[in-house]
Amino acid sequence: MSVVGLTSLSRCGVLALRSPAGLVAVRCAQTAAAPAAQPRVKKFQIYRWDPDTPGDKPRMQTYDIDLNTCGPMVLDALIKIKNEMDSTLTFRRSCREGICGSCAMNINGGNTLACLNKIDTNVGKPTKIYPLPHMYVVKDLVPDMSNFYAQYKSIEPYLKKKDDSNEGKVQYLQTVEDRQKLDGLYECILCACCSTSCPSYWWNGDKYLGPAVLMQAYRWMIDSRDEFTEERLAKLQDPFSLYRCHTIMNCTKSCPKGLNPGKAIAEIKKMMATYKKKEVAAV
Amino acid sequence: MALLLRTLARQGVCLSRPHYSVFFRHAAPMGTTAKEEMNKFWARNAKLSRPMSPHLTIYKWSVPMMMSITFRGTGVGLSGAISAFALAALVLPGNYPHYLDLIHSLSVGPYLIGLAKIGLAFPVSFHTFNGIRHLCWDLGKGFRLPEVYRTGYTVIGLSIITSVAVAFFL
Amino acid sequence: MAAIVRLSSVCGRGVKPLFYQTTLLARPLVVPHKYQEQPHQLTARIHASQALHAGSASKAASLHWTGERALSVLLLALGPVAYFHPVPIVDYSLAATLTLHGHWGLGQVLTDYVHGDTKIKMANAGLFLLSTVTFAGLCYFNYNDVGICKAVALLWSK
Repeated sequence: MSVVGLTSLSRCGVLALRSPAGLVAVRCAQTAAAPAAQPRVKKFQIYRWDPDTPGDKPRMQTYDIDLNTCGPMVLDALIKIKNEMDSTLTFRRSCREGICGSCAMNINGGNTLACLNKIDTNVGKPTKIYPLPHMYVVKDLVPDMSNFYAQYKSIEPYLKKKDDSNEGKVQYLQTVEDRQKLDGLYECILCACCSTSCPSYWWNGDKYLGPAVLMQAYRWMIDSRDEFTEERLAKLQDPFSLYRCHTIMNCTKSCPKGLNPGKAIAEIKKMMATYKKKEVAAV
Repeated sequence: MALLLRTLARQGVCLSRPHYSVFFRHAAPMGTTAKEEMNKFWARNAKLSRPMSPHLTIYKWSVPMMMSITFRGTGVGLSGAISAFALAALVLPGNYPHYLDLIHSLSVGPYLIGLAKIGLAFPVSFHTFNGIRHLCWDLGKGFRLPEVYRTGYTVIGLSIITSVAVAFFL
Repeated sequence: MAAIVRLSSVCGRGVKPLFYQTTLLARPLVVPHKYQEQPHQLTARIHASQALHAGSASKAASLHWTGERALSVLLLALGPVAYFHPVPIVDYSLAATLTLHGHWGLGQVLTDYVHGDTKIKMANAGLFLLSTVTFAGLCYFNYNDVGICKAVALLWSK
């Protein structure tokens, strides 16, 4: 018995002066190869469409993934599929840590970042993956984001001063309180999860700016260093740019960074109702 | 750019002379305006006849989303009912008590009348309470996600209680 | 700067430097000093899509939004007033408020879902007609019949 115990000890490389055989056996089991675990096969139903195949129609393709050999996030599964099973599967990705916004897509009915969305380990239910809703599809899970970016450009998302002759000479100072107003706004990564979750943006995406862009408009309106607040507000004086928002609140629900575009839009509406028109300065 | 440099070179221009400056920062803009980009987007996607990614058929419904569309539905429904009533008042002969007696004479039974009253009262109470929730939002209050759900359930609860109370106890 | 000078001298000998093949997104602008202030305006052209003159833009959209909320509050207040004081003035106020609240609400629905210039014009015309008939009908009912408050009371008494 003791001889067996000693051989086991030497095999595991553990030097124990006094340990019961049971404990040694357990330690051996930990360092020796684990017995083959049952594969946990999860189904992934993914939206596919190929622009280069003439007459191709959008369809769902199912892939089986053993979760034991896959990372925990949906992006891990997508990369595994592309590497091992189907290299034609096309999707955007970059940082894999929820900061770049590239992998935004609709997973199980909600818009999130694939790199932050944990795969539901319940293998009885398939994971359904679609591109961001109501967007023109370039290929598979890749939407055409140009309109979204153009809308962002249209709100002039940069600091504007009335007199920029002093630009670059001194820092533009800001109190701690004024800087705090930007918290919850500047962290937006422009992934478009919120805008593409908004039914108003679905029906009027050509003229309604959408929650992401509106929240950034607000970010510049309330920046104490910016001097064009009133002009930024005046730019929204039409029935579509801002006022297609009916507080459906899908945006806040879907934001993968935990931000609140719905609230930002409400604050814009309040500012729109209460700002006084200044006299137009001589240009 | 190439032409410019070649021309300058031939003329023997030295760019290091002080009265010339090369403004790389304030360069001649070759970009596009936001409006141009948007127009190009619509033109390109129409030409390529790309499919539109699915939306209503795949998006997961939530309580706030359902309450929002119900708010719109009750609004349109109530507006329609009021317009129908007004039109009837203009078009139909006889007066209101006459038509009420007609309904009375149908003798449908107390529970069906109660049900009909709830059917009338619920859209009114839901639209009213959710309308108050919307007015709170317009003041900027109640935008945190847990608050949205809490106020939502409160509106649903109050609507049911009010419509039942009004139907059976008034 | 020196590199450009060197390149230009190279050009004179008919040699094509690689520099010519690079595609620059922004061409360097060579201008005499007296035109220094222009580049600001040149870059500004890209970004000035709409006129940024705050004074010329009307506040119609935000005023409409405020009006909608004010009317909603008014309608909310009229509820208990109608219950406790079912008098003709309340009947007519209710007719006006209900009609306008419905008109503005349906207007938002149409703006959301109706697209295309002619369809929008036709839908708005239809809505205007509907609201006019509704207001006329309610006023007629108030004048020639029992009135809104009494009608609700009678309906509920059965």
